[in-house]
Amino acid sequence: MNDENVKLLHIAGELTSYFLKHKSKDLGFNIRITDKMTEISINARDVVLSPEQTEKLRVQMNNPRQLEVEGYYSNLAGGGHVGEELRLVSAMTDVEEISVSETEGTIIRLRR
Amino acid sequence: MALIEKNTKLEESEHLKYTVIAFYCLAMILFGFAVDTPSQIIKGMLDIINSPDTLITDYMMVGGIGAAFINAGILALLILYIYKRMGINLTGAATASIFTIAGFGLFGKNLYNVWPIIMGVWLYSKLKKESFRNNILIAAFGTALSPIVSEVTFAMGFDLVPGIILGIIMGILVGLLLPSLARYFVGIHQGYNLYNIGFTAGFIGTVIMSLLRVFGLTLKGEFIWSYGRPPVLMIGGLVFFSSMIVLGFLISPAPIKKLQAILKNSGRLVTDFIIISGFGATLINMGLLGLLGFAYVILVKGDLNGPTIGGILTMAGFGAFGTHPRNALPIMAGVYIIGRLSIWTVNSPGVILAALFGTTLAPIAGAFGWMAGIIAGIIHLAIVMNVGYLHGGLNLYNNGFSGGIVATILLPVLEVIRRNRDE
Repeated sequence: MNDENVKLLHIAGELTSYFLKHKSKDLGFNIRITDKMTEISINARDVVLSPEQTEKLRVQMNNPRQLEVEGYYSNLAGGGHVGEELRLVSAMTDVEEISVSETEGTIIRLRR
Repeated sequence: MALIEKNTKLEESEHLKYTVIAFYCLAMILFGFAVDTPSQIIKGMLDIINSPDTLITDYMMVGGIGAAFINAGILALLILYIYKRMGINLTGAATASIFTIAGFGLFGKNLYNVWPIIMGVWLYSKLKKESFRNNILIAAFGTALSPIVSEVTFAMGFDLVPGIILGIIMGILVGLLLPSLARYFVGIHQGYNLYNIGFTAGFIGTVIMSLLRVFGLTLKGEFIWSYGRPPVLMIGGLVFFSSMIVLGFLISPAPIKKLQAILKNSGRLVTDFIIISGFGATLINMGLLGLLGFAYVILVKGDLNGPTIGGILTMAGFGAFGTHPRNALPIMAGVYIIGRLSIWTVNSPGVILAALFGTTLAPIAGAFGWMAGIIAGIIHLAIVMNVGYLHGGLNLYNNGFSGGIVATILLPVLEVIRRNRDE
């Protein structure tokens, strides 16, 4: 498997881990790979984050892309640990959308 | 309100961060010029470059205090310049790497031996068709293996020109190995050993040293350590780290609140305090760690020299990337306790360095509590006093090597205890 696909696995694993910790039982995942970019979106249809949780998630994800951090530490994302890995995911991606609603649950859309 | 807004904008400025870090590199250079004469400095710099550099080679003993600080300051400034040219944001990892290079610029890294390693990582990037930016942190931290270059060049009996060529080739080969290995090794301890390159370089050094021993080759590096606590170093160090705290208070809009936010983190990789709490609060944390390291050395009546000040600078650097007084103290306490009970004295070189560099395991205390931190410190001292033989001093981050072993052994046990408790 090439490096890019391994990184996608780590990102997917970390986002899945985040929603499983929020007791989600209905998770939808989509990865779309084009020539120019890869779009990643995850939808936890049964998780409606509180305003505080949403704000915390936004703060964690709202970081600049850092190629040097991604290049070195990307293997740490996607494991079973509780920590700062969402910040690592945010260093590996650009956040397109974080939305929370009663009807659709929680959606995170990223691209890289 | 206006002041807070202004300070927030100030904090976001990369220019400000580069200026402040460059100021501290320059301060080391100016300090060097202030304490020695130009002729002593020139001779000292040449002596530093010509030394084999294996652990422990105290540049203050080899070339004098002035030359050692000028070597450290210039090295750090050059790496900072490379970051600037590459458009790297000075986040926690980058800041930690600058201070680590400055610290080891006092005992092992010099203006000759770091570049082949960096060239090797650059060549790896080219061969893999990756941006060098992806691997720049690995290149910077990877200079832990710089003694290989000096050892082959100056201490293996080759004439100067063949020695230089072989030393550079050896450094490039090591640099080529580093990126893939460093990425792999960080997964083994799951980010609980902050000096991950030390863990990686320890294994590389062990393989190289073992191969050399197959052919009966030994290293010529020796234990070079200056004793005492020169007043000029005590005063200079106190001013250096205290100024970080003062500057941090001036820059940060809400320094206490943001420092409290830093102290709440486990510190496990990747915990970037500059991103979490801003540059000002991070500077305060770095200054506090620097003073903590200084206080420890003075309280146990240890020596202030290249290696110990290097350890303090590294601690302070990782104050931007995982270490804070709350997670560092239990590790230092563990090393101190076992040091008191051991066959060594607490102010002997190995024990002092283990207390300072042992904070590579600070995330264990941060994540699992102070008792786990003390146990980690105890095991760390036992291991670090034994692993140096394996790589023969080729790996400057000996405590990072030991820290990786300790974290790898302790982590599964601590995880089981935590899961049982949580369930």
